Amino acid sequence: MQLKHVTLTLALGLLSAGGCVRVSQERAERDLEVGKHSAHGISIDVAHGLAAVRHVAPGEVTLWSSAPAWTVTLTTAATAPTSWRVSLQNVLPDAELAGGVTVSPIAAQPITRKQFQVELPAGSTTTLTLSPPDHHDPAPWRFAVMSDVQEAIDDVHDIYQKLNHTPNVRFLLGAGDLTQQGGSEQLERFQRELESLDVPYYTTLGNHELGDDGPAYQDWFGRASFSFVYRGVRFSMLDSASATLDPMVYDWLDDWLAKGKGGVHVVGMHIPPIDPVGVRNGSFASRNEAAKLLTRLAAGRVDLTLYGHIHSYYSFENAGIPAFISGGGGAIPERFDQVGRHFLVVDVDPKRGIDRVEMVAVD
Amino acid sequence: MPSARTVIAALAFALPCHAEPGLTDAEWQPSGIAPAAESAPSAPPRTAARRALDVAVAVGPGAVVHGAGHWSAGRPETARRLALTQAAGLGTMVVGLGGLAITGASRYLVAPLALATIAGAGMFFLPWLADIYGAAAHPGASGAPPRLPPVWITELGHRYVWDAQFAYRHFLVQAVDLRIGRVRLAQSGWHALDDRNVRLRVLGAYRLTGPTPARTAPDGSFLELEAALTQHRYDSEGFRSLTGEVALAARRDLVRLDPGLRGSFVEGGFGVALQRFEYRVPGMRVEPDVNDLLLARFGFGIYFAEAGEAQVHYDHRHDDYAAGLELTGLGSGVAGHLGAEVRHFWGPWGLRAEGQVGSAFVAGVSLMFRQGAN
Repeated sequence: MQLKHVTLTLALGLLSAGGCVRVSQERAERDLEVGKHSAHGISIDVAHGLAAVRHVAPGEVTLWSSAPAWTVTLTTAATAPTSWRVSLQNVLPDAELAGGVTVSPIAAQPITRKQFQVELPAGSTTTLTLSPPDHHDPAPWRFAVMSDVQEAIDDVHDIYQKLNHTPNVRFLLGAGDLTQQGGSEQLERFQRELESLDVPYYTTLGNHELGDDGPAYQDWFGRASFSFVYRGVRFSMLDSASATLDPMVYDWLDDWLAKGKGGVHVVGMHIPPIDPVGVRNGSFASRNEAAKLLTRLAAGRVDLTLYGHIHSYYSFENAGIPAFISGGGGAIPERFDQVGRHFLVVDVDPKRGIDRVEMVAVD
Repeated sequence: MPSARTVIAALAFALPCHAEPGLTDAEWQPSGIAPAAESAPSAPPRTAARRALDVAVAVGPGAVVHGAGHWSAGRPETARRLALTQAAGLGTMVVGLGGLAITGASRYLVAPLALATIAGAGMFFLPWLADIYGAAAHPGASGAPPRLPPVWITELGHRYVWDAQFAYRHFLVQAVDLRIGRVRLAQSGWHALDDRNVRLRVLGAYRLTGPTPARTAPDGSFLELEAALTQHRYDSEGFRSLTGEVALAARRDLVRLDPGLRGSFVEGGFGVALQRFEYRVPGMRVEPDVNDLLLARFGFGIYFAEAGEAQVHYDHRHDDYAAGLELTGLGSGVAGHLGAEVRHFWGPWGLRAEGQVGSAFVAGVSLMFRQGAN
């Protein structure tokens, strides 16, 4: 064997095996486009991409909400209609849309959907704000967490029913793997099942949403990485579906950590940086990147980390931050763990921090 | 149905076997299995065109049924052994992956099931490389390991690391490898030239079987027990890790399977590591994290006429610079990285080139100096 031939073959083989080492870059770039759309004489811009533009027709706009409160800027052309029906999906039942124009509510079902008739002068720019009445209430409150439904979609209504009967839960937070493969049909089915849930579901995506032809998730349910504040608590959801965070997401995270430093901050993502069962490595592809992320979360005084991906329940600490893995949505369960389908209920006091995290068994 | 003898032969391909020091190739027979009869030296030499055809068969149809190249080259017994090893690897992978799926990667069973999957993957893929090598090998031109390994080797070189997550790119790499009888002591260091990042490693190993500087062996096959300690400082990022590990590493020269595969070898190993991550955040005390890590590795290589070797490998490590492959979809986070390495000596001086692909690209060259190899 000739040395040069062997060396060349190995080098070419490695290069071809390498592919791309920024596997989630495209999704991060697509995040920047979420909430922005121009068609039929109207230009829509949802601040921070906290709602996805689902449908635009002459006089009609439909948005899917990823957060309890946000603002949208609507710019109409001189020839555009002046009366618009704005449909909002996945919103808090008591949320209201308001702005400097006439906004009239219209009855809609299910209760996480709202419709408004909005008068927009042609050739103008209008900012509307979606906000629930308790948006700035400093009193203690609670939210729930549920992830990893996948092939168990047929039975997910059991979980929703139990959640509906859990008192005072304001919304459900998700750490991904809503579907088996993330195609449009499965995402549509997931949305249909959500109609039986009485609170909105704010979630990031998981590795099962990545699909074969690029994720449709962002078209349906919005940004994979986003941050919002509600009742004194900052929530930052990160796209770790490829076992890494894209450098763009780290830049966003630095900003969210700086803004959230003075208050309670909850960070969620699908694949945990560290799997408590290290030999399994259901975690980031690089242990060093995991440590980099956890160092930042610790420095940012994050109060709680929430993960999915592993179909069981784990309570542990990472970098001194309380951590919970909750993959109890029904996907193939981890055997012999005495944990079945479940969700978490998190009680939070904006003045003190996380009061309690309780696992609620469904079966 | 394959006979029990052929099944044993297939397993013997991938598993490390016991090498008796002092035996010659002619005397040695792996696990009582005779070398394939059709591989006798009396076989007529192949023309260059014929070899090219055999290689094409090994690469093409051989990708599906490993051993096709040897079958084309008129060595059906070796072809059968390679195909059986592939089948055994596939079966082992199915058991491993199936077990992981059925148990939901249960914390109680994930280590043996993951090891079975990795071992199965090695048994599945390596026969393909062996088939291509055997189909391409020119009789009489095959390399061999030194009969006596060097007493010590030193290395100084440069590595380029492209990692989207970290600022470092250039590293000064140094290493020393010393053998005293069956004991090997090694130290290595990667020092970033453009960042505050250092990886220091010390390793001790005991050679259970195989050649040592004072003991010849029929070939380069060995079985070694290793223990290592690694400190990795990411001072610019504010964290450090300390990793302790134990592993069993093995190499088997494939001449033991078939003389036509003389000059090639397979490697494998497994172990476990315990890692402690320490976070250094100004103004606050952060509790360290302790976690375990599965170690597993397999590779295929060739010797250059007692002057070095080349190999490709899979390494399940997730804690070094290359770390795990970043895959889109269901395999996210689980897989380790791929690597390739070439070492070549001209007298005591040598060069080492290596590349790895995982979460990062790693590539570089070192100048080496050795003493004692024969």
